[in-house]
Amino acid sequence: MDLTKEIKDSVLTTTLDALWNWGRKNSLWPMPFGTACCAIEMMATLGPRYDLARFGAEAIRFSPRQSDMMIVSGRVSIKMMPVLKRIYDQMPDPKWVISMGACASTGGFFNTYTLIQGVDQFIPVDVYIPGCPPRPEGLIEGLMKIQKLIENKEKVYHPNVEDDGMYGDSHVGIDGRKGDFVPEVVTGKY
Amino acid sequence: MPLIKIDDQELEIAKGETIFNAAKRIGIEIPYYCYHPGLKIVASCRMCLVDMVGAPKPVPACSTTVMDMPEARKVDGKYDAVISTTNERVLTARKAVLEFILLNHPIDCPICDKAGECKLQDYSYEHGNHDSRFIETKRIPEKKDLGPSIFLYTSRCIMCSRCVRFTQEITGTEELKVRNRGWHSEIDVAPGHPLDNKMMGNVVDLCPVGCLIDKHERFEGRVWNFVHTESVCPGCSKGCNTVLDTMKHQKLNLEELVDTVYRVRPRENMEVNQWWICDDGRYLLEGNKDRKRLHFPQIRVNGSMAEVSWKASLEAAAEKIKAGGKVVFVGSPYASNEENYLLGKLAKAVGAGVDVSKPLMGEMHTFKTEMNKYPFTIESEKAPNFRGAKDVLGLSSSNEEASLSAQTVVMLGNDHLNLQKKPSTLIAIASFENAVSKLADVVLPAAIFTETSGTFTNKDGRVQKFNKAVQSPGEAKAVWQILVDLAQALGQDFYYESVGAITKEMTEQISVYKTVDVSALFAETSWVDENIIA
Amino acid sequence: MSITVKNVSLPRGKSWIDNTYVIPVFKGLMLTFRHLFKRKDVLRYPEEKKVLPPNYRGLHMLTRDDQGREKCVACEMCSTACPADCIRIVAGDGGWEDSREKHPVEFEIDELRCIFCGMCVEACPEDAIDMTDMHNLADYTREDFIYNKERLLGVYDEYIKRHPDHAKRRDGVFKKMMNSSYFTVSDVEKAKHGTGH
Repeated sequence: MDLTKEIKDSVLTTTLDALWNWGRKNSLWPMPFGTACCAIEMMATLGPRYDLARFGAEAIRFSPRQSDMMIVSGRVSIKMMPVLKRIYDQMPDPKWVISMGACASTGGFFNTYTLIQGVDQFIPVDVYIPGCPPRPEGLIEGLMKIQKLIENKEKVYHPNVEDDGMYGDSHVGIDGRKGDFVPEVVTGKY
Repeated sequence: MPLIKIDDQELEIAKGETIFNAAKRIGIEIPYYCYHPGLKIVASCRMCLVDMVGAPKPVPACSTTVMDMPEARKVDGKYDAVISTTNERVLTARKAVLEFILLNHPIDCPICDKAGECKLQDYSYEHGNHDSRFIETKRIPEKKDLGPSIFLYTSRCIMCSRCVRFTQEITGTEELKVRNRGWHSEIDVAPGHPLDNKMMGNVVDLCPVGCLIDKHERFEGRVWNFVHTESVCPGCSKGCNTVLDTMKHQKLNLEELVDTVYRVRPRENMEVNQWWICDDGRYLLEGNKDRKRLHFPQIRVNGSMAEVSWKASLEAAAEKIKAGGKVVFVGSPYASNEENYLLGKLAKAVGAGVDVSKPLMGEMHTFKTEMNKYPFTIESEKAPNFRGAKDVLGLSSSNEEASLSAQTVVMLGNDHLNLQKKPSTLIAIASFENAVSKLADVVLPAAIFTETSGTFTNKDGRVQKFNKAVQSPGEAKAVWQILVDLAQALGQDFYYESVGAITKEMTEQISVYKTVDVSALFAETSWVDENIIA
Repeated sequence: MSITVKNVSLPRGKSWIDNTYVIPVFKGLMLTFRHLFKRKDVLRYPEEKKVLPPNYRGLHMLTRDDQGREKCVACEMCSTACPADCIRIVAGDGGWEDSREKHPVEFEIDELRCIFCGMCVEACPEDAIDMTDMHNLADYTREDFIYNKERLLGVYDEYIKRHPDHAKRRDGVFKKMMNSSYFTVSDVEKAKHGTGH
């Protein structure tokens, strides 16, 4: 009888897991990555009218090392993408990403060579929120979707990113896409 | 020479020249529906009404000519006519005409394929009233099926009678006619005599509104999405000038991008095809839709064909050419001058023989009527470039049978050939799966004429350029690129940057092509002046 | 300009009581305490929802005609007007005898690329595409946001259940616009009926 296995499957640890997830879910610390107008709506969501504190996510951390949920709100240009990528890499696991608004999710109507046509090409996005910009309700909805993810102990999108510490630049990209990301964009794959 | 004044611009016009032509010459646009330079003038639409000093009411510009006036009757002492195309009277007349035309028009622009290039839309926007005063019920006649490729949406018709005149004057087949009179008049065919001749597609282009619709193009796409590319019809040795209308289709969020030629339209060239093309050329690409394109290079392995990479296929081809025995490079009357020239150059470099395959011969058809100044002929030689291929390969005639008995044959564009006996080694540069490509040992997939640029020489020796309109499917490459790659695989030092570079070399090497102006053909290619740089 | 040093002393209160900070702290806490009894401004989102105006530009829908078919005639005006290029239509032939000769075989909107500008609704000559007040659309994958014809018609069915008087509500907004001084009457009429014949 493998005792380790037995203990792993026992009630105690699973319940502890659920407890952990319950804790995580109700105290998400967002890392705001606001680059454009969506960030204004994000601020409105944090304000008293919509009050993100009701979900335990009011503790906005401007240091990635203290946060576990990134809200990418706004256009991300090719020049900004390495910054975003590095900030994402600096966040400790487990971490979640919300892509807020049309620009962050798909590039929106800025279908140009300078703009990332969706940040999900480089970092794993868990929840997308459409809108230009989305209403605060939309962001709350996205946050609730993240909470549901945590509750179910799963990530819909499993990234294949190697954890290479604080300097993540050498391994930019996902799904085994290594090296410089710029050619990916200019090839017009998206 | 009468001296006239149109909108403060003085000009002298020839006797018999219409006001419409004179205005066009000095850049004044007069709206019109029924006028067409290739057809008789009937002045039935009244859209081109202009005001003439001394005339009791506005006159149609398309049919009015000016003669020398006696001194006493000249306006301002010197003008034979003073014409206004923009004064109050003209504008009111245009508004009124458009209101009449629109009385029974269904205004179903959202589902009309002409929307976007419709003269009725343009002129209504520019000259018309924005509201109709017509409160009665519109007369909506039924749509009709006129023949194998044309629908008639009778309700959209504005009775310009261009199509009727076309069948009377150009084709002489007289299928179309105006039935009934006045309010009830409509275009129709006689029972049992559908619109079915070899030039019927032109009536769709002639129709200024969306009344005549081509069945092949119906609902395929909106015209404002089309990209226009100038091309030359490869249907016969006449070399009609055409425009290829293409469009890109993109699936949302997906990478799939398909562009296709949606329609072929004639391009005006008075010395070749005037304003028309025949239906053989117009629907030439429709016929290709059912055929299987070759997407990847293939080589024969143990008796069956296997798809391989370009590198492997070119190496296999080079090996077979080098293997020895008599080698013949067979050019094609369906390929451009550049492609044939390069083939000939390569053959010369590797010491092989050169030949050209025979074009397919068909029926010659001439549309001749008393009223038509330029009889339209569909040539019997169903290849665009037989003359050009012979010129650049330095041959006087095809010696097909003899060259096919050679040990190794490199064939270019061989769709028309029905190969009876396979040469011991056959390398085919082909676009479609056909009798030759099935027998071949190496198949190199090539682009068709819409996917590359080049020049064709028609039966009269006119060199005309066609342009690339769409992307090749799969890994198919332009023939000249294949030949350059093949040359390099054979150890030859061939390098060209573009088709224009080949054309330039060709005009320098082939004596009869010395007069061809490359910079006019490839206007976008600028040539470095070597003297200045050195 | 040379750098100068300025000595700043702490601001002093009027009396020593203020300087102890005891009373002012309680004063501040009192202010906070008072707010407990005031009207709350918080919108408790998933439970409470803001009622949006009828011309709110949310998720698209494809409206149905009285026979239950989509009104759309595949004229591609919406995809032409769309600044984000997020609409894709493939037209089909409904048959020679059918009153609805041209109709969309495929109709896709990428709601994630869409910027909800409402241009498609403005451009539609048949009132076939319209916008609902649905805006809470967050989801997990990009493919979830590509709405095809069936989904968009489904949105209509769902929306019309909640707002059976949708067309009337829209008209009401037009009336309001007409009464306001910002729009002239002709502007509103034009917007309502479209120009032309």
